[in-house]
Amino acid sequence: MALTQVSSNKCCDGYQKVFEHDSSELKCKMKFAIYLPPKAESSKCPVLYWLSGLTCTEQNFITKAGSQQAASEHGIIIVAPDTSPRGCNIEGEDESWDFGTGAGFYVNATQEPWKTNYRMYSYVTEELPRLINSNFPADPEKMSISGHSMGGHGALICALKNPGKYKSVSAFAPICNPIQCAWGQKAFSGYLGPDKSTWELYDATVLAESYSGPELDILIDQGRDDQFLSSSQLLPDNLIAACSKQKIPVVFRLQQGYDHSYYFIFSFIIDHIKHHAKYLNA
Amino acid sequence: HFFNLDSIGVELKNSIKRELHCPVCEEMVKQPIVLPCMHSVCVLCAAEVLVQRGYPPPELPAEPKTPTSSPITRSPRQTRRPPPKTDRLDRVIRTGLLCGTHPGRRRKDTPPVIMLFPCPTCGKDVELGERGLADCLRNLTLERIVERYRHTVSLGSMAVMCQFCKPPQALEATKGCADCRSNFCNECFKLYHPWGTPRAQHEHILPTHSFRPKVLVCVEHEQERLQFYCRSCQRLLCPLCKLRRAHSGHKIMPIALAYQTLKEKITKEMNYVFANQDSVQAQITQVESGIAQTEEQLNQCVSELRSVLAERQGALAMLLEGARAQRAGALNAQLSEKQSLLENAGLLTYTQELLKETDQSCFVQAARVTHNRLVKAIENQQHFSLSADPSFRHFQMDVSRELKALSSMDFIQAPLAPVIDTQKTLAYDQLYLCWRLPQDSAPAWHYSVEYLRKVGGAGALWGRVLSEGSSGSNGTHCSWQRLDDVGGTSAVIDKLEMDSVYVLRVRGCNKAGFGEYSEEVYLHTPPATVLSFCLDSRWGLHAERVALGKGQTYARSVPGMTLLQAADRALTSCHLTSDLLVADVSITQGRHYWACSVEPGSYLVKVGVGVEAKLQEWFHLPQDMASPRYDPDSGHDSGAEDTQDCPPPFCFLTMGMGKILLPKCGASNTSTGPLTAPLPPRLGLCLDFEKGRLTFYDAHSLRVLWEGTVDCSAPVCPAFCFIGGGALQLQELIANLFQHC
Repeated sequence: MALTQVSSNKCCDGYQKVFEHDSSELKCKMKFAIYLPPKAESSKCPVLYWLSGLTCTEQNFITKAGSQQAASEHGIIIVAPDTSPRGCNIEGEDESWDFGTGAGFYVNATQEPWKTNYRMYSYVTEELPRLINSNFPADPEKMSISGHSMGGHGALICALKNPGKYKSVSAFAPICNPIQCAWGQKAFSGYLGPDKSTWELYDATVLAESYSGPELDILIDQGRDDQFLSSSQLLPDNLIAACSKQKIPVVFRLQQGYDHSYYFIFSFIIDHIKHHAKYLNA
Repeated sequence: HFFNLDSIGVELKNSIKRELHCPVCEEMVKQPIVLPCMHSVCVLCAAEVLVQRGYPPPELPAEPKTPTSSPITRSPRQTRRPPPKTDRLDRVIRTGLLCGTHPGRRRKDTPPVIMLFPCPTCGKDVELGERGLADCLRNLTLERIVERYRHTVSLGSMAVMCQFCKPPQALEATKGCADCRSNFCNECFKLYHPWGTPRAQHEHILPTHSFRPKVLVCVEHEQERLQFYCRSCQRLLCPLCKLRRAHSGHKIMPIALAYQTLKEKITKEMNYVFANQDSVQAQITQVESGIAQTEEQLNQCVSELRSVLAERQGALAMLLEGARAQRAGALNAQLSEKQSLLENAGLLTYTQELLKETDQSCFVQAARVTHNRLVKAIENQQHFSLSADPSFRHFQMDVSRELKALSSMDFIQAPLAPVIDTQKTLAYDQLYLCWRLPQDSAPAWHYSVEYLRKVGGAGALWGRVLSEGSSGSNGTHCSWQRLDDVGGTSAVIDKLEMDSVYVLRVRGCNKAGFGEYSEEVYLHTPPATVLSFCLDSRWGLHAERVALGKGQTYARSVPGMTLLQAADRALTSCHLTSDLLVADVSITQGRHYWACSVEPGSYLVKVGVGVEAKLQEWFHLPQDMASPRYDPDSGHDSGAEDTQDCPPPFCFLTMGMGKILLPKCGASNTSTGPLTAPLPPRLGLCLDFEKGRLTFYDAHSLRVLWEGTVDCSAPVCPAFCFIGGGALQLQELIANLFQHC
């Protein structure tokens, strides 16, 4: 698979690059951002996958979150893919900001007309790691995953559905229980159809209730003044309850005064990278 | 703590060298292989050893095509391995040590020889497989470590150059690439392994000239990688090997799992060794700081003493000063007084002149006054005395006691071994231990008593054995039980097992810790549960002649007024009666034990048991001691009345003159005379009701003195008899005597 470099900027002694490639899962050209710390020049580094939220591309995280300094210090590669396939010309894909383009929800769609292209789950868990491991000095055994909002949902389900694959997981204001919130219900009924049992395969709260595997250390930051928290789109309490029952360690921090924006991510990204570094650099 | 090959000291270098040495050639291993016993040797050394053993020269694993194989590309640093010495081979063949084969035969015709390799490391003969040494895997890891070690040792002697720099500016290589099998400098490496291409995931290694293939391949299936590990055989397997029958039912796991597991195990073990080293270091540091602290304390104590000494000196000096001032003042005052006395000198001169006056009336007139003045002067002189004591008898110092105390100033000693009071220590229903500290011992704040039940029963040891030191360790299988924080100098141990020997010892504790143990004392517990009773006065008492005391556990036989009067009238003989004292309990079943002390100066005392009804009979009709029935010399057959076939309704031992008379068990009279035993300080009795047997013991050592039989068809009571003066003390329960919790 050939990668074409789209941009490269030196940042914090490492390099923030963007590459483009032809995706076999999504059947279209996809871009992803990758930050390579200075340590990558001399040895293989662990990888942190960042999944962005609704309406984002691969650019938002690398320009707004300020993660490069911490990544450089801890010697971690950060890969930030796009949030959905682009340019597939599917009817209705641009109608809403919370369904279709920019709203892949990290599932493998089963319904027409989405099922050919909208396979973000496989892209993130299989194709992208394969690509990264064979084209960059990445340590294939050391992967972690994180994300924001819809990306937080993606990070949690990828970790819960693949015990042992990710060394650690964290999220910013994630959608914890999509089958109970409006966003999730809209997206899942569109991508997965009416059968609610298929939705449960992609719901972090349901997955946590039946999780069995190596111990997973989850860090979640949630802004208290987040408008989507108050409009019951995020529902973190359900996830916490499921995790407590299953004895999955969760650190849930409610941050006073913070909202849903990238300013919130910027404020706490260093804590999250440190959390991942604990396991990736162990 | 990292022992990095790059940053390693001299001793560690030598230590690592040993790990990397071949036991045969004792140099660093070259192309090591792993034998079935897990030890490594150079492949060529292994071949030589086999040849020396008498095997045909073994088939060596094929050397992969590497730069070092051809002399041109081999680094000048690595010397060429000398070929095996053929003269040795010839010698071996000539002496016919090769079993069954000689050089003429073709390889194909000989059956495969199962070779036994004498491993120099473990000393055992290990069986090599069919293909001999070729069956042994290369120890690539060891090779790599040797390589890295060599690299750190010989850095600088011959640098590795980057193979991609464009001349004329060829730089020294900083990395090697195992996949490209070349050496690069930093810039060229980045150029040839750009990010975003598959080359970016190549593995960096140190620059080297020998790029051996980096994976182990299966010895049998050369195309297959070793992806599995068989736990049962401890061997690496390829996918084809795994399917073989040889490994059916074996525990096989993927190599990644074995890698992880072994890595974790080894890391844990390494950390444990480090931690141990760390802990020894920590202990050394602790000792150092402990010494510093204690020294500090000592200095503090001494400086305290010094300041007190200085203070006392000051205070005493001030007292002296006060006394001096006071006395000096007084003497000075006197001095000024004396001065005034000197005025008398004027008076005397005047008087002398006056005496020259011859005119009598003038003389009388002047002398009258002068006489008064002289009288006064004389008075003054007579009453003069020093107003201050010149002697300083009250200001002498005797510091001999202080000097003695100071010179014996010492670190607090732990208390010396306590001395057990063997008179008061005893075993009864409980163990009572009593001790004191030697006089010159440091005081103890509290004591710790240890006791141990020695298996073997009371009969195993008799006599009291005092052992030096702690010989309690031989033969004891159980551990000491402890009574800690015992205040005072005695202790009670309850919850005893009967018929056992207990060993006890005690030590004191003060600020300096525990002192030495006392000598061990062995206490024998009674053979049966202790019976507690009092002397009974329910049948009335010979109140005149027997006085009960101490809660009716003590009895004294006195003559009584009647006998006193009778003795006063008589001069020749006196009637002594036998006064019976009975216990207030009767025994109807089981085994019971009790003890008593008979006063050694008692005249005649009988101790034993009797059927209650019979005793009652006798009480009211006392048997006459003087009756000829009881006189053995009277010619009457004194033994005939007591038939031997049924046990008598009583059983007593008689004691007097500090001895116990032991009746003979048989009818035969020996010529040595009657058998006696010295009266022990405490006498123990044990009645077995069911067996009708009464045993007498020395209550301390529980040595059997005598055993008799008694008719136990009816309730039986302990009983005592006084004939003449005597006293008797029943042993009271320790539980009652000492109200310990």
